[in-house]
Amino acid sequence: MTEHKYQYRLFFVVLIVLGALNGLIARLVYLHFRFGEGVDRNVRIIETRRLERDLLVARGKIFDCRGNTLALDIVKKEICADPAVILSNTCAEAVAANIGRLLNVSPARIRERLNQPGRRFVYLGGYGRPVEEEQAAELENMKLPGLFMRDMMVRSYPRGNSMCHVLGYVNFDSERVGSAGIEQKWHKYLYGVHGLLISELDGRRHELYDRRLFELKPRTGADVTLTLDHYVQYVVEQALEKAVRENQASAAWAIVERVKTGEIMAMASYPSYDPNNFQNASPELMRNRCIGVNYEPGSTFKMTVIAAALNEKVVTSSQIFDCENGTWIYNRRPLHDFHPYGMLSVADIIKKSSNIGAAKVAVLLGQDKLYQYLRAFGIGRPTGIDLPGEEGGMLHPLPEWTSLSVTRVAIGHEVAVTALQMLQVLCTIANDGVLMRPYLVQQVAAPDGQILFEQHPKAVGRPIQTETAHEMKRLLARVTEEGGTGHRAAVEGYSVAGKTGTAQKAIPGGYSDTLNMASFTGFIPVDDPQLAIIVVLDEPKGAVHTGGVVACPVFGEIASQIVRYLDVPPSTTAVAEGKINDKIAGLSSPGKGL
Amino acid sequence: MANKNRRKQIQGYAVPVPVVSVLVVAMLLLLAYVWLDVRGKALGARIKSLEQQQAELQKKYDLELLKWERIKAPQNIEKMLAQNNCAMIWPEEGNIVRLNESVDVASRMTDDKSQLAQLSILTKPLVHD
Repeated sequence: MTEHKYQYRLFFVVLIVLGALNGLIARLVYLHFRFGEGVDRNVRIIETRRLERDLLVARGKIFDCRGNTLALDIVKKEICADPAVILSNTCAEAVAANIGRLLNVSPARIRERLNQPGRRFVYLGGYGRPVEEEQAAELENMKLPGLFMRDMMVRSYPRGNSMCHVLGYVNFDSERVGSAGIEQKWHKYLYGVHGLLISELDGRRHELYDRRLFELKPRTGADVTLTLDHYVQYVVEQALEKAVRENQASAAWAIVERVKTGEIMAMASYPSYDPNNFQNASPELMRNRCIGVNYEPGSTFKMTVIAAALNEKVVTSSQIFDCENGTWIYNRRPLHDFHPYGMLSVADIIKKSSNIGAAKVAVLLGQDKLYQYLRAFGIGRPTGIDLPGEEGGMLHPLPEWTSLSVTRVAIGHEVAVTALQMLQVLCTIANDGVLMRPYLVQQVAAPDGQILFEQHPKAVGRPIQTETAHEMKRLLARVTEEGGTGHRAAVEGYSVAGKTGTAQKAIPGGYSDTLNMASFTGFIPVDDPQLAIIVVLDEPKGAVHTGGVVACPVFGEIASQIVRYLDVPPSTTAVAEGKINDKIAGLSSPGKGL
Repeated sequence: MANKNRRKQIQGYAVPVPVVSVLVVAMLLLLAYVWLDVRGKALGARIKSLEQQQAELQKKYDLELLKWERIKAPQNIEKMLAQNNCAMIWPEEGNIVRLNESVDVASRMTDDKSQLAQLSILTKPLVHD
């Protein structure tokens, strides 16, 4: 009897255990195959567990020619909040007070953003406005419910304002589009491609690696190496800032270019802006004046006319012209010189910067030839430098020239250039008549080191012959000697050649009597030209505001530092000793003249 | 009719060898699967942690690079020099010595003083004053 009784008990226990196991199995099957409660429930479960995340990627870096990093991406935190959680925890006041204090904004504004019970996500600092590391750490320590931080990529420019007009900046939008300068022009290389991760989360919201469904690795952007040199740029920027301050100019800009290659070593414009806070800068501050401002070049343009006339052999450097003692009536309109001159050789027309002399040379050359040469020098069209927003200058088509145009263009009026175009003309003369294409980007390299793009010096034209270029070099070297308009540009130990320019600014109805553009464009050293520099000051307000007085010292200051920094050997030739071309100095053989 | 050898008869139910073999293989496969699964999960966790570590290191590297670039910017160096009442000046032209030809110094470095004197002539410093 007893045994039977136990057998029944055993049977019941086994039955209960089996029943429980069956229940568990049924539940497992139910959970696993997601039976019952319709599609919604399954979708909800899938969505709850699903992880879909953009993988952040860095834009490529920008380097100078010495490998210094000029722009890079760093990860920062942006403050986000879940208003629903914050409001349900009734801690909106505390959050608003703390965030307001940390970000230095009104707590009322934060409260306003939080007061949206229907929303699960808001930016507290503003979209695309990250906080500093210390602020992020402080916020994390507060452990406020409903408050969290998200990583975001931020473009950083370690040098601040330096090179801002060349580098440009990157917008805050999700695509982070480069919106000015190199960042814009080279966006297709710099831009990295975001990755994508689709996976599942466990109960603690951690990713289940073995459930990773899809992973697209992010592709980092390519690095761009520029021809700019950070120290040369710094020297130029310092000199411009000082010049603007001392001459109360409204702006100033300068470019340094390697004569033989066309590499731009510095391109600066003052006033400038900080690309780290580009949203606070006005469009005027953001303009790269070196390539974006057309101005009438004034006397610096005379070298173009004289070079053309010498190349055509219409005149010789020793040929004498009557400069009419300061006033010349041509086609019933007067043309004046800044200082009155009598008889001047072509060499002295350049040295003394005589308007009447240059105009007479241009008349001898003829407007057709003059126009051809100006086009050959690249006037009236963009140089093709690898930056956006380049202006092409202004050169009216020949049919639109009036009977006076040839005399006005010869002295740098009725024509507009950018600083880069003017510098290109000088570089052509310094480079034995060969016009090189200016460039800023040396190479673009992928993160794995593969070179995607490389740029080499490229000759784009030969407006004048080598002999003419040599002759022009000698003539321009006299400008910086004693008695020349550019003697303030002289650099101790080095021979300098160049041309000053002072042009009245065009205003509606004519030219301003008070506003002008002062400039100097020169190269150094004369015997083996290495560097060409242009300096332009807009509206200097000193007692004397000619290019020779305000722009030449800036050139001298820049050039004297750069030649030492770049270890350019000092001049050893006769030019440096002041023994320039006896043939020119002697003016022994007067030729035909007007 | 031959007598049955009762001593050779197997007592009880004998599981056939193929069934046992299949069970053993299945068991081994299961064990291997479990082992691989555990191993895979462990590797996955390690990869994830390394990925996070790499991302963190990259962040730190970029931040350090940013700081370093700010430190070595010429404007910062000049600011620091000014704060410490230091000034850097360019050397006077007369203080610069230029060598106009490369000289294999090592091959000429001997104890013979006359040869060293000769070396100084060969290097011919250029003075540009």
